[in-house]
Amino acid sequence: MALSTRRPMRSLDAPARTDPELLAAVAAGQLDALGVLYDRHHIALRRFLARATGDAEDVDDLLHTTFLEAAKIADRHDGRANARPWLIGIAVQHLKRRRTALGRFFEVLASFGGTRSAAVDPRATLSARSDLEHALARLSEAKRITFLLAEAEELSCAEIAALLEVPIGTVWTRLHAARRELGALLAEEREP
Amino acid sequence: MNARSSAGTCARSFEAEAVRDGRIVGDARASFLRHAETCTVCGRADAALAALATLARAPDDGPRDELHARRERLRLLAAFERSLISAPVATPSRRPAIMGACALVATVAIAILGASSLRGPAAVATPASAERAPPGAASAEIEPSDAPVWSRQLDAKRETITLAAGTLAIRVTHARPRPRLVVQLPDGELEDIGTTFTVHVEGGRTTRVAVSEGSVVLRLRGQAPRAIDAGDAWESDAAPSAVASADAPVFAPTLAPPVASSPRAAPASRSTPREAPDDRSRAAQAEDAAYLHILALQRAGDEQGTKAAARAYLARFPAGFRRVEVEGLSR
Repeated sequence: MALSTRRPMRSLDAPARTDPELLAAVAAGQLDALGVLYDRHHIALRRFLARATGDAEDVDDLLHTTFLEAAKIADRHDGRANARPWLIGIAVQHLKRRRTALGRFFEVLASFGGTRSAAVDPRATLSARSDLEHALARLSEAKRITFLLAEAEELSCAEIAALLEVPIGTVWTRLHAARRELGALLAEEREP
Repeated sequence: MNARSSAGTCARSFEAEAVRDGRIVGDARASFLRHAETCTVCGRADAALAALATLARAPDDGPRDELHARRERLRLLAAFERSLISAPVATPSRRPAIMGACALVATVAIAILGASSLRGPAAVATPASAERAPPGAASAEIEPSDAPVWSRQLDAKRETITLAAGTLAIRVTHARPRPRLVVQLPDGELEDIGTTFTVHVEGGRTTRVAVSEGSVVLRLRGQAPRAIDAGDAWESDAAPSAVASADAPVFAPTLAPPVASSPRAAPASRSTPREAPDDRSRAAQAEDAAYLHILALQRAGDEQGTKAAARAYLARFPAGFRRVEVEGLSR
């Protein structure tokens, strides 16, 4: 393997690589490309995960898992110019698996008698900085994720349905319910 | 027909959400949009939905922990690097080239200062200049400083750099496959995991290791192995604090304040610093802040600003442990 000549850690002269170019480089095993991809998208992904989970303790690990998974399947990127929806999709898959595992855990807890399974994740203790985050934390995770995918990430309902593997009617229903509840909660938050 | 009633409702208000979600398209959508221009109820409903969406998309104004973000970034890169190394890659065509290149490497005179305890390959003295193995062989760029005494040896599975005295700044390229990189020290060894780092040896003892990217494992004789991550530094008189990490659950020290090390000081890893810890802590934080400022300018694409900030860093911290990297950014 050729030894690279001395150069700055991050070149300031070369034009920025596109997301598909970066993912192709990651698929070829280039670490710096993964670093650039992380720099480009980690803030948005972190914000999505923080809001989606309502639990800040999970966010670092979910973010790490999402990017690591993205690096491993980089050759399967759909080629879109902006990789963020694709990364969000990976994050959502991890959230689903996490929710399934949590659901089993809560069922076990409930089986010990006297414990009612909560429809809302009882670990929602994120220190929210805004009224919206306070309100989001009070939604069910399914409605919260659907709302964030639609309004924050601007995915179409068809894309969300495919991502969550639910019928599009379910997406419409969850969105409608999320908006209604958020509207009421935000009005409540703003009352003096 | 305007369906408004005196009660302030409109039978078409549900269409605001339907349009937004793509349930109503084409002529029906256009019809509603025309209607909403004259209907206050529907106009309000549409505006409320838009306001909620705007709120959801608003950027996060909270403070950002840059150091935490960098640590997480490098944790990710280290994990990916490990996954690449553990994945078997068959490149039989490279092996004859590597073995052939090895034959060219070992021609330098052997000199070891107090190196009776050195293990592994023989130490070789080299002049103080940037050393590169023949192309196609090694995977590390090495920049010596303060006239170190060091050598390099490569075989198919392992590249060994032997440092007897002085300071080396080492940057490992990330093309794969590459041999395992180990730096032999008078009192132990340092293993690289896809990294940029600096190591200093003085008086037959390793006195400082600072990691800019990736991570290393430092194994000193008589002491437990230490993993040192990017942004962290270890000094022989410091008292590193262990921080749990998902990938390195046992040894992951946080950024420790720099401690003045004396060649005669006992190699105690847990001794109390001799100088005021608050002053050193503040100096270390100031250096971190200056370094992060340079990186922020670089990420923003401000080339001139990056160079100016790098020169300011070098003027303020002439012995800063990121000096080698910052010198590169100042040019």
